[in-house]
Amino acid sequence: MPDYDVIVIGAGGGGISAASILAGKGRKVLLLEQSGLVGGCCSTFEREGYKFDIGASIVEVIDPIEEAFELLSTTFQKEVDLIPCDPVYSCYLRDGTRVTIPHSMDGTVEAISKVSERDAAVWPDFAAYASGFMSETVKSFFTSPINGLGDMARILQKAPGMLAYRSLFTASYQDVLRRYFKDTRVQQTMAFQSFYVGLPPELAPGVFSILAYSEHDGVWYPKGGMISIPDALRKCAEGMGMEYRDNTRVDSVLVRDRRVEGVVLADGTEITAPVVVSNINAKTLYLDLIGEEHLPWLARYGIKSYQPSISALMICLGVDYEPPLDAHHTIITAPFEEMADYWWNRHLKGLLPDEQFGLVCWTTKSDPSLAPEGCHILNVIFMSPCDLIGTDWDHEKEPFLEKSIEYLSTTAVPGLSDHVKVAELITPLDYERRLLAPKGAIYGLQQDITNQAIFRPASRSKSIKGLYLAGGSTHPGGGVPTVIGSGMVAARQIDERE
Amino acid sequence: MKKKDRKAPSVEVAKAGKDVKKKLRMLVLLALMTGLAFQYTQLDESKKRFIIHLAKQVPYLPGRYYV
Repeated sequence: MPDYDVIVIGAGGGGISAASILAGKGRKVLLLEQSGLVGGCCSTFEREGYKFDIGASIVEVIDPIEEAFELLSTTFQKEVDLIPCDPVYSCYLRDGTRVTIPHSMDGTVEAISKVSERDAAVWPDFAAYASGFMSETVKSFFTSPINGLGDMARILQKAPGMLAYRSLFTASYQDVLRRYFKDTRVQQTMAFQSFYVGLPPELAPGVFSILAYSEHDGVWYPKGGMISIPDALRKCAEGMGMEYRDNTRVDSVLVRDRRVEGVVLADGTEITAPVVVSNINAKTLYLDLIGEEHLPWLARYGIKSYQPSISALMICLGVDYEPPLDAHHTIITAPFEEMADYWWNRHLKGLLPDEQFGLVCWTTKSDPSLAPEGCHILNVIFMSPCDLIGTDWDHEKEPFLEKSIEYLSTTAVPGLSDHVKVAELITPLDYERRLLAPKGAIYGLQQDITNQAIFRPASRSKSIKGLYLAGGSTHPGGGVPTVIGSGMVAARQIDERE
Repeated sequence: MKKKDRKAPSVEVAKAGKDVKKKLRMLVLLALMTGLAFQYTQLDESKKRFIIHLAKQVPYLPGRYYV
């Protein structure tokens, strides 16, 4: 008799949504987490009275999250206090110009028209096109399994309208934006979002150009920090009988005759179950926790071919002044060419950029309770390689932190260096150690078109029976709503098959 | 009514016809490849890098399908 019906490895968004939905269906579920916090990259930690987010800093396209809570007989809005973010973001361009993009369509046209009248006139066309594709994608793609060609055919049958957007599948992110917008400064205001899928605009697939629009559908910040979302799922699941163990690391997955039998913990304890859901990186799962000897040769070849998505670092700052910013998100952006140059000549060669681009998240603008009274929090995300040439992050950490604060003071956040009370740098190496994200790749595996849908590690393993995948490295990919969607996909298949 | 006798083409004529078809096919293929190569040279560097990036992944697709 197995110890549990289902064991879930990792309490990231995918693992916790799968665990909670299965617990809600009456399964005896054990959720194991190697760290002391739920949420993985959608989490929050406290230091000296300041609550810093670890990765994700807002939530958008919330349909899959709402669906997950509905499956638990509650609602997202009831369990989590969502604070709307408006303006949706502000941009700091290379020439020092600031462009603030509000939630409303008319406001956005007005903001763009200050930079280019011509491009402002085409914004409604772009918004209508992106919105159409997004509604087709959300209803069909985010919460359906795509394990083979049959699943693809079923999705197209369910949402035939997707075919009208086929040109997005062969173009790049920047190609799509250039079709609409001609002014390089307007392009800059939408360029950085391609890094939300871990690739520069010239390599990210055109389907992700919806990211330049999706925030207009609504952006929210959960009160109490990003951890509030996974924590609400955990509480619901525990109420339904799910057992949660933190600080418990899984060493290997027990496999016999290509069927899972349970897991072995780092202390040697064996726990058995006929079904295992893994929320950890698929490459780590198959090559380290299972072992390639359990895989057919073609699957072995396939899993080794995946590359991690871009790595990033986060600077967590507690400050004693109100930063001179005007939005929850300020994007320090650059032209397409500079982002491509960074990818090819810096990132892939292990070099840090001369001039940074990234995201400044002013979380206390939305939720002042995250910091002591009169103080504020800035979480700054910069793109950066994990493996540095001639040095490593343990040596570069302190000088890089000082240099970055100085850089921010002279660019997007004037006066910052005189007001820093708490500063912590989470390097790509720290992400690798803390979250077991290989090479600090917070978005899981690369997300170009050759790593999507049927070519992404399947949510129901094709090699090992009883093994299911959730999280950023399986379908539909990295991001808060998508990983929660991946957990729902895994739970649905388990419910139907096991 | 008597069926009109039709003279069967000689073996040599049939062979020559096949050769012409083969050569035509080769020419069409060559023209297509030249056209594609020409089109590729007209693309900007960024688009070329996008295509090469995807082309490099193609050999892995059969393996990825089975993961």
